[in-house]
Amino acid sequence: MGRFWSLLFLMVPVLGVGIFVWAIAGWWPIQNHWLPDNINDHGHVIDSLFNFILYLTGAIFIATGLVLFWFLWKYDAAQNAEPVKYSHGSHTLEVVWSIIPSVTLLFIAIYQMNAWADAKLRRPEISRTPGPDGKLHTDDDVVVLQPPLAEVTGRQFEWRVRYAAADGILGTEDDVQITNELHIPQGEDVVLRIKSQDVLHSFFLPNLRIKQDVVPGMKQHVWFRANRTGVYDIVCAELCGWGHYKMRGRLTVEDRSSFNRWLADQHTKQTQAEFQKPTGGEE
Amino acid sequence: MNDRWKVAVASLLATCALCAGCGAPVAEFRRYEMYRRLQEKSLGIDPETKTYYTFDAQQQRDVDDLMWAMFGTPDEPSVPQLADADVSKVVDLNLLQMAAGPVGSDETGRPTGLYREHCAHCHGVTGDGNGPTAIFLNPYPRDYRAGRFKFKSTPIDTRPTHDDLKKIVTDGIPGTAMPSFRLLPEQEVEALVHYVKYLSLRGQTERKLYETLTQLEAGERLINPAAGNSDQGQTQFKERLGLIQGLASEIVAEWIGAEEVDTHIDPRPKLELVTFSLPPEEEEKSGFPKLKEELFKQQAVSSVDELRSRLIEQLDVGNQPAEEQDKAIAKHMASASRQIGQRLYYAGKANCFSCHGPSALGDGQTTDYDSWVTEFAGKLPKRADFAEWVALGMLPPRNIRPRNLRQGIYRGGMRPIDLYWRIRNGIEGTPMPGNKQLTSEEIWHLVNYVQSLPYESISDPRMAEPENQRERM
Amino acid sequence: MSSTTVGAHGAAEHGRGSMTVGEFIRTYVFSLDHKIIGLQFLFSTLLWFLVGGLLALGIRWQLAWPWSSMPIIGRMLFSGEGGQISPEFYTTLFTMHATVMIFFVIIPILAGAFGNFLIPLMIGADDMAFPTLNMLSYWFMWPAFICIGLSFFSAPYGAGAGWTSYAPLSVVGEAAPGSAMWVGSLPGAQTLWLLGITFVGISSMMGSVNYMTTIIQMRAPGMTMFRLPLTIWAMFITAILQAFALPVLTAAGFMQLLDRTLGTGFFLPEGLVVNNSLPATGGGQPLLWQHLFWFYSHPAVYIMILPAMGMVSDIIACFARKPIFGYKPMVYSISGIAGLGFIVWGHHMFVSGMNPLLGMTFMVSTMMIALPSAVKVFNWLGTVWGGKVQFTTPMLFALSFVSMFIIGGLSGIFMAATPVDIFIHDTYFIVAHFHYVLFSGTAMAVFGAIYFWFPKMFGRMMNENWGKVHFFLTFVFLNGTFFAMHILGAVGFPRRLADPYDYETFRQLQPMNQFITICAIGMVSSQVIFAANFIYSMFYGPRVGRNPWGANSLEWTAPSPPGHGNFDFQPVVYRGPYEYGSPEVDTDFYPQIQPPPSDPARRYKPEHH
Repeated sequence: MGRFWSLLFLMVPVLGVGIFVWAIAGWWPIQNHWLPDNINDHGHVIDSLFNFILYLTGAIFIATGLVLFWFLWKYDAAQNAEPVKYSHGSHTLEVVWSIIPSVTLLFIAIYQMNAWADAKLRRPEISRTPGPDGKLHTDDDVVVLQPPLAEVTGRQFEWRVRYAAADGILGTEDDVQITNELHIPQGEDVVLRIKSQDVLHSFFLPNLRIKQDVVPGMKQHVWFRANRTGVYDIVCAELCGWGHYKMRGRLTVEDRSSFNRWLADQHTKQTQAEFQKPTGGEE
Repeated sequence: MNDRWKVAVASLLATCALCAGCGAPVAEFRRYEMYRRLQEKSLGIDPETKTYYTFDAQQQRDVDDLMWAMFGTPDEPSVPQLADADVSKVVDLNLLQMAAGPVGSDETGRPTGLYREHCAHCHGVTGDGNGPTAIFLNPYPRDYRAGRFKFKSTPIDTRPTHDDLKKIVTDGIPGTAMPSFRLLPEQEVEALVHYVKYLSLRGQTERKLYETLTQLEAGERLINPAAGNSDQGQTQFKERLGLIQGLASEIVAEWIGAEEVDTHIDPRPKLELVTFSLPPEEEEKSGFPKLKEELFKQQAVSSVDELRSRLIEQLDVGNQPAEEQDKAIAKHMASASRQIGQRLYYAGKANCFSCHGPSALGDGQTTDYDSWVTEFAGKLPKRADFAEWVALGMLPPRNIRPRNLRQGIYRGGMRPIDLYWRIRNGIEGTPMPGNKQLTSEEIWHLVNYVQSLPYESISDPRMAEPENQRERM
Repeated sequence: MSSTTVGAHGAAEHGRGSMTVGEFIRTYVFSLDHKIIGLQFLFSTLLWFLVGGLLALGIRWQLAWPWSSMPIIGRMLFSGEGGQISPEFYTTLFTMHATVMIFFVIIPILAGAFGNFLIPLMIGADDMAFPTLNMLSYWFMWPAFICIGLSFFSAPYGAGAGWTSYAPLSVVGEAAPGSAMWVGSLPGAQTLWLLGITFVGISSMMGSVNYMTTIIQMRAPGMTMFRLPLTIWAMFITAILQAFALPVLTAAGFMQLLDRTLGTGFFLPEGLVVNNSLPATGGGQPLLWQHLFWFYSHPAVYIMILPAMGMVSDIIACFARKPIFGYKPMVYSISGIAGLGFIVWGHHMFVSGMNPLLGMTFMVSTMMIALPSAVKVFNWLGTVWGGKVQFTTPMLFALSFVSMFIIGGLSGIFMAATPVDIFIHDTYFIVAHFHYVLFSGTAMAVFGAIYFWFPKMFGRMMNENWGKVHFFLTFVFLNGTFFAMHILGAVGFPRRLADPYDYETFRQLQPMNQFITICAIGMVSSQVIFAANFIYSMFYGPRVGRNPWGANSLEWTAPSPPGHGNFDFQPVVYRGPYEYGSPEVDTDFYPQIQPPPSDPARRYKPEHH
């Protein structure tokens, strides 16, 4: 029986790795069961880190799984006639397998700080000039941060998107306001201001590897550069009530001129001050 | 293992099998109990029993059967074939089938159950605005059965157009729990709109049937198919059927008629000096005569050129290029338009402040109820009046508050034409009245004023921002 | 109570049939005996386990076949809608599933059931330091049961703000159905939830005081701290964790209660607009709730794993017939996990809006906490190495704990990596991680512990063959259920969505969800075997003596089941609990109370490696 159980435990690393390989390779029937397309220039670092940790933990997973199997197989009481190795431990081993993991883990932690800072601390700047001290990249530099392209407000249960119109100022009467649709020009650094009107929501763009909880009482910013056109999902990633699943938005990435056209078109629709009933067609 | 345990295990397994359920429950339409009660009350009090007359069980069943025959079930909808009105102009049966039934897809991969997937949990399977989620929402979801809808292009006591309903489904209603369904495929949105109309037709028909019951004698059947054996029975049956079909046709005709109502709005004149130079016969339609009069009076001039030079002087843009001068003048005209709007807000013809409040915060009067309540509980209901209706399915009534105009949340849409319609037509079912006295120009001035309110310094959005907001990066 | 009470009366003296009602209540209902209290906890938590499992099946059903008629629930609650659940009911399902599992199953079964039962027995005491307090700690669970039970009847069938109960969703009455203040004549579900959590907190705090005092003060002669079984070390450290962390949760829960009922604004900023509702008092911070909540709830997850680790160590050593590898490193690891556990809470809040600089500090501490867990895994492997492994049911569960904990622990490293967490936060990757540590880890350890200590509790053995069937089915189905969730998480499949298939990104994931649901149904069904085995064996299992497994620790020297006062002699301890395969004796186990051989030549001199 012991052999059977050892083999059962062997199945864990074998099948575990197998499923991951299957998903990553995208073989039938689990196609598209891995990381979605990444269209953010700054998002690749997240994918690389994910994969790095995947391989590292994968190796450890396989190693420990195989060791466990091997020990169970070899030291099965029913098959193993040798006396037990009466050992209380090994100081050397303890030191070795404390130091190696610590160093590895610390390394992983420190290695990622830059990626995190890029994603959450370093908002794109338009210009940076040295301050009174005459040196660049010091605290007293005069920095002009990139203004937000749009303001996205989460509310139960939709995303209200607001663009500055001709006057270029967000928060005035002529802003373009639209629900659940966010258009972005391709290939440019885009900053979005995100906030919430009522409860916590989370602004999640899977294809851009962006996620940030929107907190009522706080204005925050996210930034990215989308390098591919197309239509992608906006998902709410923080429980916000019964309609949490309904907070689907549509992110459209298009080239700058199409974007400008779209924005102008929205502005026109929004300021519609006349109405003729359509004759037999759609409005 | 002894026998006791064998029996125990067997019964456990049997219970599991039973519990797994022998098939899913079937959704059913709910009766319009409230309206039935309203009609019963209109019959007065029976001196013998000292309570209101009630319709008897057979009459009630007749209504149910007629509803089933005309409109089918939530899983299998149908529409009545009427000689006098073409129902297919209002409701398309094909699209209905997409919206009806349990959520899934049919053999061709076309989705079904759209209404139940997206709408039923708030609006109810019957469209009574009383789905499981409804009680937790403020404001409550719409009850379609009266055929009354708030945000449309047509006047009060008229049905909405198809496009009105489609706009609501597509854009949602900001400031409420009604979400935007813009991201659904067009055909699915259409299916939902048709289903809403179907439920509305159904509800209105049910109402008419209950009203018809009040015309009957006690014990007289609304319609008796079995009596069709005798000649007299057949005639009576045909008569009744005709009557009922006539009632349904009236309802359908109203919906068809809504599409014909004149809802057009002439293009709003531009806020440019050139509109003041229009010939008098065009002024009414394409100009702002009142604004012109105002500005002439204000600047004490009598011609457009004089006005122009006077304004340029005043706004100190004399040495600017012509473009800049035009912009400055336009801005001034806009501000003057808003002032006219403001005066109208506070004065007799529009008198908005009496409900919307002197500060436009919606606190002018807050004790009223909407017509979905007052229809049943009376014009000035008290708490005690509600209990009997709540027992029959009414959601606990809340006061209807006028809109706080300083928030910038416009339920029926934020476009100028949406605001125009609200002011011109009123909002059906609420104390917001339509207004026929205001001229088109006056409404535009009011619209400009209302749209500016959220951006006035006292409603400064930054002041309405959370106090301890922290700007991050 | 003095620990030198000898001459305890056994259960036989009470007799089974001839008690008055008062005596029965004092003996079995309001008992002061730690073993009865432990069993009370055990039975209550196993029943709640069933409730939590059924709630999970509701979630799985909706994810596999969204908006289809849900079995049983559909007919009972939603027949008007054709059995289709409403979206707010789904929020109730996952909120209550987590709440029940965490607060009514895992924490009480580890600390309340096993802690209570085992601590005095394993340290050689006759009962806990404060028996009355102990009894109260069980009975304070009942108001919590009632509050949460009532909340199922407060529309919409329970609280719906998640077990994390984030403000403002949980505070603003109109933001979520379960958050309404009053529903008819019942307080809103969220209020009841908060009250329930408060009672659980009080019960746990009482228990933790008891355990700490008992372990420090009431050890038998010769039982030094480093001769304690790892179960006891784990229970001890867990009790310290509870004592320090729980007050924060209780205080936070109280603040939220005040926000809901008295209009304070601890967690509400100004200017909230929830549709038509009147504005709420402001001046507060939603993030404050998160900090306070996670300050407790992160140590809570260690509360939920450390006792399991301790018990697994004992079981593995026993059935490998070999000392535990690295006893002191194991003890230090437990302490390290607990200590570090207090400074990692921010890793639940990386994308919450918390200052991103804190993200960096928490990333480092979170990465470091993987170290002691890794050390423990290596030591378990070291224990199996060179042993004579007996594949009994408890051993199978304990081994599966090790195997599954490796998966759960390694997946944690992804989350500790802050940039990666941006993507996987609030996805099924997280769900996979914590179900691996909590179910495939702790719950499997709990099953193993039940099979292992059942003879001591009831004087009878559970059926080994059915135990192995139960293990096999559970093991296969749980991996089928939870492993696939890692894949879902990699796609970004979010948590808590009632219908995720509207999204282009997730549309293709329904078949995998259906696979998971089917495995979940299999997993929950397999527990019927366990329940039947448990109940049957309690009355009809084969009787056993004091030490059926040949184990070393003190509880195996007491009668099965032990009577009041536990031991019918005064235990004196001569060595640690892991002397299996010792050359000093001929048997392959060497009880702690057995005096060393009188012949000095036979005495073993350990070398230090």
